[in-house]
Amino acid sequence: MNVFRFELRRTWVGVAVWTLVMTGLLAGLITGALPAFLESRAGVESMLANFPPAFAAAFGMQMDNLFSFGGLYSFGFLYFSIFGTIMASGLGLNLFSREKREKCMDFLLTKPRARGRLFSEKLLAALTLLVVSNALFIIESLALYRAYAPAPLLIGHALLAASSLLLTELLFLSIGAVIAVLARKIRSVSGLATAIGFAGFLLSALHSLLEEESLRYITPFQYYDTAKAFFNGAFEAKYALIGVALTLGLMAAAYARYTRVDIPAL
Amino acid sequence: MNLFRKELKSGLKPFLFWTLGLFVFIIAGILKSSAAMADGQFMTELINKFPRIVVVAMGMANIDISQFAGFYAVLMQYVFVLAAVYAAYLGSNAVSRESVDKTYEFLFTKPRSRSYILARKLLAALVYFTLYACLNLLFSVLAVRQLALDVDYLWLYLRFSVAMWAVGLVFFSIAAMFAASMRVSERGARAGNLTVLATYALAVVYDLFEKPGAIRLLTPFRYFLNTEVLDSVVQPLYLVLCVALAIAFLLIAFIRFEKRDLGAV
Amino acid sequence: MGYAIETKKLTKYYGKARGIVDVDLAVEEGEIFGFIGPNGAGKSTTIRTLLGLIKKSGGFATIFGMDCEKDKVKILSEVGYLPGEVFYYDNMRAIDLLRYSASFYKKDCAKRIVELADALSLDLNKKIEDMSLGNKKKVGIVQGLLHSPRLIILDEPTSGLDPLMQRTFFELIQRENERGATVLFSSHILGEVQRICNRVAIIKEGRIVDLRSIGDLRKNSYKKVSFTSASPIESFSLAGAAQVAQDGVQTSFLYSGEINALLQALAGMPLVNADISEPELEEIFLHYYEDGETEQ
Repeated sequence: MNVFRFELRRTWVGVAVWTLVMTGLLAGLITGALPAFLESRAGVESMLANFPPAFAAAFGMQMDNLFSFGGLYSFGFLYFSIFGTIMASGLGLNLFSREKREKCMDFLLTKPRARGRLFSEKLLAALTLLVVSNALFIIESLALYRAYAPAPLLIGHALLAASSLLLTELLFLSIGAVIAVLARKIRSVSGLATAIGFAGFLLSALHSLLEEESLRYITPFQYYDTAKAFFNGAFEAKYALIGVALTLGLMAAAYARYTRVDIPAL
Repeated sequence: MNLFRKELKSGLKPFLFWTLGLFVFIIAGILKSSAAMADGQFMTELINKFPRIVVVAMGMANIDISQFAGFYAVLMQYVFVLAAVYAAYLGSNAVSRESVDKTYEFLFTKPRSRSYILARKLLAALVYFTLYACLNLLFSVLAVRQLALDVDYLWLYLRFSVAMWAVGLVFFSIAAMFAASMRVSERGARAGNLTVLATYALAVVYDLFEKPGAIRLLTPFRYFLNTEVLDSVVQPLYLVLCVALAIAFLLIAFIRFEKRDLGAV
Repeated sequence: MGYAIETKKLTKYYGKARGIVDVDLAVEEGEIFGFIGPNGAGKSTTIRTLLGLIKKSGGFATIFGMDCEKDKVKILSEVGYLPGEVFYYDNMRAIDLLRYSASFYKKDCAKRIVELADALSLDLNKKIEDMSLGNKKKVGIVQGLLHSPRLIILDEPTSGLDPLMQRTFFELIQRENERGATVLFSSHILGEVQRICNRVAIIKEGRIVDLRSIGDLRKNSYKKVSFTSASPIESFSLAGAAQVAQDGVQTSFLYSGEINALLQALAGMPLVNADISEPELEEIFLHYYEDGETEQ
């Protein structure tokens, strides 16, 4: 497990900082904005009274969901996802391209360890960090939920909603890993990770803006729909399955490549 | 000028890649806009009366998506993000590519000052970014032509393209400055990219407040507000601010780059 | 006793590009085996195939009787490898890297690290990225030897080491060899191979063109002779001289044979200056190429 420990030592600080920022933002959003957000409901409702009853009724159906802890939380999730996916894809890129970037493939791969084992230890290090980071995020989410949401609490729903970040991050870990293993050269981990994270965000934005259902197949931020999880207690199976399949498929592809590729001389 | 040409050549592939992103985003966005607008008519009327925080939560700050122009402005808001990430990449790449590729010894032992070399590298990058803003204009025109609208929005696209260029310029020069200031180039790149992320987060915070005040100065993403660009011209004050910031950051970049020890990373 | 390294018809193509073709090697346990050839001949390809860094296209290769691909992990625990160019992780002290390296082997290497570092006078607490090329190389040497491997594979190991350090390095390698380690030593510098090897294989354009003991090579070895005479020498000739080139007072040729006969012949000439040196490798290879062609 020395590779696992080695990778953990080299990456935990970065993940800790990201986690600190994200948990801080979450706390800021809920404590800072939730009360005002909930209060504004009255104003909206009185305004809705002036609209045609059919519309008011249709819209009113959504009011309970919109003006709730879950409503604001799901809104914030879009932005947490940017942070989380930059972190996760960066982690994948960083770990799986480390020897390539620092030109010491020879060093690691002439050690008496099967390549599959090396890959697994790196993956385990990444998973450990993401799980710990998200455990903190989830615990914080649930604590805020208990503190700020009115009864009845649906802890199961909140738990599922909060863990959608972990699932999304795992997908982006796979994306990072597969790029790291396939690319001939990685010039900047942070540059690629930022581009990947924002690409996910922009696809998501485009999808919401156009309300084009077919776009959702290529919108990773919405494979695990936080709002749906919060209000229905389940992700949409089709998209969640795509997400899981992509996560596993990409990681398997990265594994296959990592264990087979010829390592050229420098 | 051969260095400049070489830089142009090596920047072409990334440019095409980013252009593809821009193309898909604008074309898909605009071609699909009528559907979104049909929905938007009613929503906008409603939303304009909502408290600000609710509007932001629904992702519709400062806009009127019942009109094509309002819709276009929202689209541009996101294109700015794309452009900012690209600009930051261009800035840090221009400064530190040779160090990353460990070819700096080859280049920086030629009889040219470092500033001479850096200037050409930055200029080539800037050419690409300017081209990017032009393509934004071009794609907008081409896509909207498919919609057969009765109003000509050419000035609108132009205003947004100029704004995009100015905002990108700030990120470009910030990234170049960070890359020139840090010995380890990955740290420089990271600082540049984090600036994009942090200022974007700040822009969202800006949207949340009814009266955000000075926050605007801290985030180039809000130097040109949708509402302002829609109504009139690009605010000259902020345009000047962008250029001034860029000059200042680039100046620091040149000074730091002349002084620092070059080495592989 | 079995072979430390044995390959039969070992072949590697990179797509369509030739790497190595039908390489047959048999390195006995306990010997120092030289592997020479010009750049691009296939030395590194052979070594990297042996180490499992690249996959062979055909043939087979074993180390200590174990298959280089199937039993790679077992083999690698017995092998120490020093590449020509050394790069290591950023932001690490030498001792951190070496401890990390040691952690891959099931033995305690702490003492060996200190011993080797002392022998090479290497400062273990310095960051590797701040080290000179030579010092990085030393880290590489310690890294390759710290687990007392049974087989040591060196791929052009001496570049970047000053002559003094080279001597220390060769002494280290010889001591390892006396301890029982087999050494595969690839180089394009004939002199250093001659210095410590028992046998050498010569590789050219991906194929082994010759395999002989150093004693043999010495007997056949060429000297490059050039001299300046006071007046032009008419039709210089000497038994054992080849590739004679004359240009006014300048004469040069390759010589193979008794060195005394050469010196006696030279002594009879009005010399202003004379130089007897090891021929460039290319010149030696020229000889092998010619041999190879006549035999075919």
